[in-house]
Amino acid sequence: MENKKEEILKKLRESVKNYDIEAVIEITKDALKEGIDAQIVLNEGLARGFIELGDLYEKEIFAPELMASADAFNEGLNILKPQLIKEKAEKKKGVVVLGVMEGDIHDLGKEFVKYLLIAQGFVVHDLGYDVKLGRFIEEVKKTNADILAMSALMTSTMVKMKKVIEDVHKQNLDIKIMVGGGPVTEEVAKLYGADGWARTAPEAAKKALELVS
Amino acid sequence: MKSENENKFIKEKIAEITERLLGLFMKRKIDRVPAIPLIGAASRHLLGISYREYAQNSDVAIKCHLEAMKIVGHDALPSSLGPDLCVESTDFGGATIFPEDDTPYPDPTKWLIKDPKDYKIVKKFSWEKAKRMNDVIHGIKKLSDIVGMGGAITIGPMGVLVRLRRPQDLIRDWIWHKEELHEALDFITDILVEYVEKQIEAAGGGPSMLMIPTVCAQKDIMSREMWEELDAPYQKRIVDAAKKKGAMFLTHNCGRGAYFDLLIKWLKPIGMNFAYLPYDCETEEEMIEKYSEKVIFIGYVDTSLLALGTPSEVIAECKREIEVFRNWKRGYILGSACEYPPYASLYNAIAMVKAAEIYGKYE
Repeated sequence: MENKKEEILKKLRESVKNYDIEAVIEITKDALKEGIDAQIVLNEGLARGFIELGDLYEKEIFAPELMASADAFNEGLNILKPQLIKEKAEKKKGVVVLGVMEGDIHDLGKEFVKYLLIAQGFVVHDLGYDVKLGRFIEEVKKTNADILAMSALMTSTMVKMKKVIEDVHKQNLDIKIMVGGGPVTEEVAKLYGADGWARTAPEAAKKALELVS
Repeated sequence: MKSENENKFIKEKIAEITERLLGLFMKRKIDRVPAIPLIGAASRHLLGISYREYAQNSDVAIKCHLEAMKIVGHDALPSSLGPDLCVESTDFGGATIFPEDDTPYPDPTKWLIKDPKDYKIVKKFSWEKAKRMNDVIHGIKKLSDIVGMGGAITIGPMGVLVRLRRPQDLIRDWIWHKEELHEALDFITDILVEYVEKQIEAAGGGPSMLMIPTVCAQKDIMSREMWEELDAPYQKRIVDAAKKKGAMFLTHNCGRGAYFDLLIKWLKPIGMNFAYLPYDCETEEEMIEKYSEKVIFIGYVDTSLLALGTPSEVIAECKREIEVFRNWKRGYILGSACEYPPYASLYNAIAMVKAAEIYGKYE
């Protein structure tokens, strides 16, 4: 039984890494039918496969492959969701509000961060792209988030992060702030008063774990 | 009288810049390191023009560029007009938002290509309706009468598509819908070849230059193999057409880990403007060793520093870069890593020019 379970989870990991959506759907259903706990299917199958692939980012795989793998991960997750909600057994790492700044439509990096955070066990509230500045704090308050993560790909939209961070500080909100995206350097992150910065999406997911631990 | 003096000043300045830049391109000895802070829309502040107007009226944009040349004294010939990244996509039918005082961007609620089967829609392009591209061509003609040379710029075929289709869906198509993508890229490339030819022709036969942002050629975006399949052949067609018209070619890449070797192999640029070290170099010294004989280097003062730093900090960084790169063998231009931040004051651009004048003199 243990061997079979391990074999299914291994196949699931490989299918996520190969962004084989059909196989992911089939194996995820099989795993549940075999009685494997949904949380284990998520952690040891889908999420582990996706995180392992993320570790190869910019070495062996690139943005399109990571996107395709994220899609496969998400398909599997959708199958598990009803079970996960029913069991309520999952211990979440934290709550993240995530979005791309107003005037910016480049959401690829944000998408990767979202799926990697979910894979790490975070609850993510994704505001999407072209997000009006006031929406970030509104959502943070509504969800009682632990982390606010903002992304920008243009210098003209990057500067808007500063305003949001200033507003967070003015309102004394107990939250960690992460920033990232093409022009956002570690120096800019420090200058703006962010708590965390990462160069790539996989590094951002790891940074988020650090911030809540 | 004022106008006559101004024209005289502009003509003298242009003669000085031309001598310096053409000297560099022709491998002649020049007086100092040229300084190009890549000022575009930031120039509009000098005349109190909104971004919306700057982007949509080349007559106004020209006035802004010439004013910036007078105030900043940089070495860029104001010969090309790329007011924002949505010029071509708007004329292909993309919905563009023009904020009063911010960079125009694609309307994220109205993507033109919603599904892979929609790629054919780009074939509805018509030059009669291409208001923005025609405005740029008109502007170049007008500019060439003043500066005596011309420049062309285009965002490239993938750059057009990324403004017509939601980026993450476009990236999925790079894997799952290559056939539809190639058909669209092929058609868009034909139009962009015409666009670049029209810009060069508008310059009236003087020396001309083409600049293309080749941002897909970097490890942040796609693999080397994928770039050679999906982007390089189309960019090459545009560059070859421009070269056939006598234009020199510069490439711009503001992403991390650019594939310099592939850009040189496919497009043979005379110069490269970039923001970060290439994918195969860990240090500036390694980059100098590998590439300094192959292309002119234009860069790479961080735009964040230009936006947020003080003039003193900018001067210190420019001095550092001049010391590191002044002996780049094929020739070096002190420049910003990307377009000068459009919302920033021009103090830091002036600081960059000052640094080149003081620290960039050649013996």
